[in-house]
Amino acid sequence: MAGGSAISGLVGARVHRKEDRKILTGTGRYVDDVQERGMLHAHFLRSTVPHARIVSIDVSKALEVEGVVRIFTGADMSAIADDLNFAQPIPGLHSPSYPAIARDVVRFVGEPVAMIVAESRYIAEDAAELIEVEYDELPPVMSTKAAMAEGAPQLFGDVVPGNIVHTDEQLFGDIEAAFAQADHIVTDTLDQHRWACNPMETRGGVATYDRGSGQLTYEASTQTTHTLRFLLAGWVRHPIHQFRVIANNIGGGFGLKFSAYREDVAVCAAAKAIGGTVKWVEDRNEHLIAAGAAREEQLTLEAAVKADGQLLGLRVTMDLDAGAYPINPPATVYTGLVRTTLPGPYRLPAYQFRHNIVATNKASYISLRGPWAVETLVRERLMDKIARTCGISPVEVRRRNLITLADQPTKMITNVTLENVTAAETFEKLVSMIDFDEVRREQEEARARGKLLGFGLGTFIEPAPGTKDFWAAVGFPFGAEPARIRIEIDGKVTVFTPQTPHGQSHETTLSQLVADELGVGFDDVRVVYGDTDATPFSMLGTGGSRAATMASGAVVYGSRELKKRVLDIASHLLEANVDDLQIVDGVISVKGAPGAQVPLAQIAMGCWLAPEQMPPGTNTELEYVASYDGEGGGFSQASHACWVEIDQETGDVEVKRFLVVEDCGKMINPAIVDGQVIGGVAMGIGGMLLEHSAYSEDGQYLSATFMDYLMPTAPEIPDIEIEHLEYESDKVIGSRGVGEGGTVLAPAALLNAIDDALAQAGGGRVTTTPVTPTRVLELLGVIEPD
Amino acid sequence: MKPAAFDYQSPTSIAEAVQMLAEPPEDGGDVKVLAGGQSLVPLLSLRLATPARIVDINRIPGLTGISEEGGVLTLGALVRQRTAEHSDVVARACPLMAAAIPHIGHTAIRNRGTIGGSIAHADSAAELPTVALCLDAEMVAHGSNGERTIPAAEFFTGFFSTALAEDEILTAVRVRSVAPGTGAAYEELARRHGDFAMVGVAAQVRLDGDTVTEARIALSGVDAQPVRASKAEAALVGHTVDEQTLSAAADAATADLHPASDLHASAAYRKHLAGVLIRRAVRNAATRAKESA
Repeated sequence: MAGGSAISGLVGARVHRKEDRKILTGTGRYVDDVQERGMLHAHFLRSTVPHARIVSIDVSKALEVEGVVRIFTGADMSAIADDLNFAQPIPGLHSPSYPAIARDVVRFVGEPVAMIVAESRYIAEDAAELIEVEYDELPPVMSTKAAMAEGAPQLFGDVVPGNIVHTDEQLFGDIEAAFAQADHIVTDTLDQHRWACNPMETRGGVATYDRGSGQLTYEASTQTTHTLRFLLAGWVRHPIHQFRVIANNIGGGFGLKFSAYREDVAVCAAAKAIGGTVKWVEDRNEHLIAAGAAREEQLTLEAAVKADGQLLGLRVTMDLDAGAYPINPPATVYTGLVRTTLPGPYRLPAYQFRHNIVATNKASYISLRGPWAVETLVRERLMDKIARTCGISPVEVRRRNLITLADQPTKMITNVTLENVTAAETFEKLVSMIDFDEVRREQEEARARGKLLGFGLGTFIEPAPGTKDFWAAVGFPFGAEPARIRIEIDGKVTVFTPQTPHGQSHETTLSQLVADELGVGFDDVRVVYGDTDATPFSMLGTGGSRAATMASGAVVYGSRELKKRVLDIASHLLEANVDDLQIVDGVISVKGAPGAQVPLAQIAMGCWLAPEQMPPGTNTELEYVASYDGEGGGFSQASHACWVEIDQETGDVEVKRFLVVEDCGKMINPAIVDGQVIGGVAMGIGGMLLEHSAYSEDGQYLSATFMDYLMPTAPEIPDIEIEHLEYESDKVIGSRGVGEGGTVLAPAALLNAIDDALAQAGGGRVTTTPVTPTRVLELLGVIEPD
Repeated sequence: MKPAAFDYQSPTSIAEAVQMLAEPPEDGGDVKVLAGGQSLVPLLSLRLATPARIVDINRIPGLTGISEEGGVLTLGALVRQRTAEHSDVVARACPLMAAAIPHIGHTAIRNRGTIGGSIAHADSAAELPTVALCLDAEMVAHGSNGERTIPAAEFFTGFFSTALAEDEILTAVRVRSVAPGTGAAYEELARRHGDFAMVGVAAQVRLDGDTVTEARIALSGVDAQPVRASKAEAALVGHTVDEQTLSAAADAATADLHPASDLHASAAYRKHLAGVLIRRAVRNAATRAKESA
C-alpha cells in the first residue's frame, strides 16, 4: 500500500468472528428475546383486499376478549401519531403521506387496519378474528402497465397523478449521433419479478414508555438506529432527546430494515398512549405479505454498436413497480442508482435513461442487497446479445469495451470518476481460470445425455462506498462516517460506531483494525453499536456496503489520534523520541531498548484519575470522535462465471459450478469476505430461480408461507469458488465493501448461462423472471405458454 | 401465527380415542387427530385449521409396529416415516414405499411425520397417499362401529378428503408384499429439494422375462387427490419396456389429466412432467424388477 497504512497483523487474517459465540450458543438478544415486566403484545389486523374504501370497522366484540388492553383503528392512531411522510424536496416526486393504520382506504393486501394490544399474542390474534371490517372494494391495479393505462383507477387521486410517483429522462452525450453511426441496433427487454429480503429475523420492536422520566425507548430490528429515531420521534410526537432507539443482535436485514415502517409508528405510539411496554414481532406470514419486496421492474434497452461490438450508445427505459406506499429512501434513489451505475466498467459515449416509478396495489418496493442490481443484470445480458449479433465471443465483446486501469482516471458518461477500478482485471483473471475448450467438450457430452450445459459470465463495478460524484449523480448525500474511541482506565478499548451490523461482522473487523493500530489485543477491543444514547450520529447506519471503507477509516483515524496522545505522554515518561516508540500487546516500549517500557494501562489510569500529574502540555483526553470522509471513496468489482445444466425434459435448472473473482481491495478478514460473497451469490441464484413474491391478477398475495416463497437451500447452491485480487489503491483505507456484489452480479452470470443452454437447443431467451421449470420448457418450445 | 385455543386430549387407547372423536365439542367445532403434526401444526398456526379439540394419539400403544405376515406388510399408523425409511422389512416387502419416503420433506420432518398421518391428511401432492393408491393398500380404521378396512381406491375422496368418518381413526396400513420379479420406483420433481412435488409418479412393475405381467402407476400433484393411471398400466401389461411402450403408457396416462396451474408450475407443465416422470419411473422400476428376478 503506497500510502503507508500501519495496519498489519490481525488485519488480513482469517480471525474468528467475535459475533459467533453469542449467535451460535443462542445467547444473542433479538427482539423476540426481549422480556419486560408487564409487557403487552401487539398484533395487526391486515387488509384482506387489495384496494377498498373502509366503510366501517367494529371492534366491540374484540374488546370483550379477556386480556385485550386496547385496540387502535386508523382513527384512534391518527389521534396520537402523525401520518408517515417520506417526501423530500425532489423535483417531480409525488410522495403520498399515509397513516400508520389505514384510515379511509386500503391499498394492498396486508395493509394494517387495526392494532390489537393484549396480554399475549394469542389473545391479540383471537381478538383480531372478531373485528368486523366492511370494505367497499375498488378495482386493484396490479402492474405498472395497468397503472399507467388510460382510465386506470387512481390510487392516491391527485396526490399521485396517473399513478406515476416520478418520471424523468436524462441524456448524456450525443445519443442521436451514436445511433446514426451504428452498424447494429441491439435491443433487449427484461421483466423482473418481485422477490424479497426475507431476513431470518423479521421486522419487530419493543417500545417502552417510562412514565417517570417521560422517556420512550424502542428496541428494534433495524439497520439504522439514528434515522429510525428521528423519523419516529416526529411521527409519534415525542421529543427526540427523550427518545432512544436500540438495536442489539439483528437477524439480517438485506436493505429491508433501512426504513421506518408504519408498524414501528403504531407500536411506539401505543406504548406511549398506554404508558407501558408493547412488543411486536412480525410473524413470517405477515412478513411475506406485508413487509414489502423488491426488484419488480421492467426494462427495455436499445444499444447502438459498431460491427466489431464497440458500444456507441444506449437507450434505456425502466418502469419500477413501487407498490402502494413510499418508504425510505424515496424510489428516485433506486432509479438514480440504476441510471448512474448502468454503464458499468464499459466505455459508453452516449446514453439516454428514462424511468417511470409507478404506484400499484402491492406492498412497498424496498431495498434489497444491491438495490440497483438490475443495471448489471440487463447490461451483462445485453453484452452477450451484442456478442451474438456481432459474431464474437462473450469474452471478446467485453474486452473490446472494458475500461482498464491504463484508461483511468476517467469518467463514466454519467459523470462518475473511475479510478483504481479493476473490473477488467478481475475479468481477465476469471477468463484465465476457465478452460473454454473444456466447456465446449462438456457441452457436447451433456447434449449426448439429453442435457444442456450452459455457460455464462459477467462483470461489474459496485459503489462500495462509491465516490462523491457518484452519489451526487444519484441524488443522495454521501456523508462522512464517525466513530468514537475510548481507551479505558485499564488500557482496554471501547469503540462506538453508528454501524448497526446484521451479518457484516463489524464487531470483528473493527476490532481487528483498532487492535492493530493501537497495539492491543483483539479481545481487548469491544465494539458498541446500535444505541442512540451511546453511538455517534449517522443517517445511514449499516447499508450500501459503506462500512469496509467508511467505518474502517473512522476507527483507524480515531485510533491513530489516541495513539499519538498516548505516545506523546510515553515519550515524556520514557524520555524517548515519539518516533522511537511502539505499542506491542498493550505495552509502550522504545524500539531496540527492551528495558524502557510503560504499560498502556498505566498511562490510561493516569490520564483518567490524575490528569494533572501527567506530563505538562500533553493531551490526556483518551476519548476521541473521529470522522472519515472516505478520501473520495471508490468501487468494488468482480467477475462471475456460472455453469448450469438444464434437463430438457423437465426444465429443471441445476447450477453446477460458480466462480467468482472479486476485488474489494485490502481484505480485513478474508473469511468474512468469503462469507459475504457466498451468501450474496446464493441470494442471487435464489432470486432468479426460486424466490417469488407473487400476486394474483386480482391482487391477492400468493407467497404467504415458505411453502410458496422458496428460499434457496444448500442443495440448490453449488460450492462457490472464490479468487481475490486485492488491488490496493494508495488511500489509507484500501478496503471496499463486498456485502452486496454477489447478489448484484450472480443473476447476470446465471441468466447468461441459462440463455447459452437454451440457445444450444434453439430455445428462446429469458425475458421474464423467475426462471421456473415451466418457463424453461416454454422457452424450449416443449410446452405452450400458460 | 398463533393457533386459536383448543382442547387437548391424549388418549392411551384406541377405544378412548374413538370416544373423544365421537363426542361433539361443547361449543361445536371440529375434532382433529394429532399424530406427527407436520401438516396439522402449521395449519393450526396459520389458523387454517381451528379445531375445538385435538386428540393426540401419540400415547396410544401398539400403533408403531412394522410387521410382515402371510405376504402382507402392516405398518402401524404411528410408524415414523424415518423409521419406515430405515426398515429392512419395508425395503424388502414394499420397495415402492422405501423409494418414496426419502422424497418426503426433510429428515427432521420424517423424524416426526408418521405413515398414517400423511395418508389421513391426504394431500394430493404427497408421496404416501400416492403409494397407497398405487399398491391398492388397505387402510385399517377404528370407529364407534368397530374396525373396518377401506381400500385405497375408496379412501381418497377429494381435496384433503378421505373416507374416514368423523369418529374414525386410521390405525394401520396394509399392503401386499411384492412378489419376486417386481421392481418399483418413485420419481418426482419439486422446485427445491424437500418441497412438495409439482408431480410425482409411483410405479411398480412385475416382469416375466422382459414382459410386463403387472403394472401399477399412480400420480401425485395432478388432481385434487392422487390419481391411478389405469390406462397406462394397461398399455404396459403384455409388453416389453421399451421407448415405444413407455411413450404409449405416458400418453395414455396424461391424455385425461387436467392438472391445475399455480405459482410453481403451469397446467401444461404438470401434464408434460407427468409423462416424463412416468417414463422414468417405469423404466427404473423395470430395471429393478430385472435385478430382483
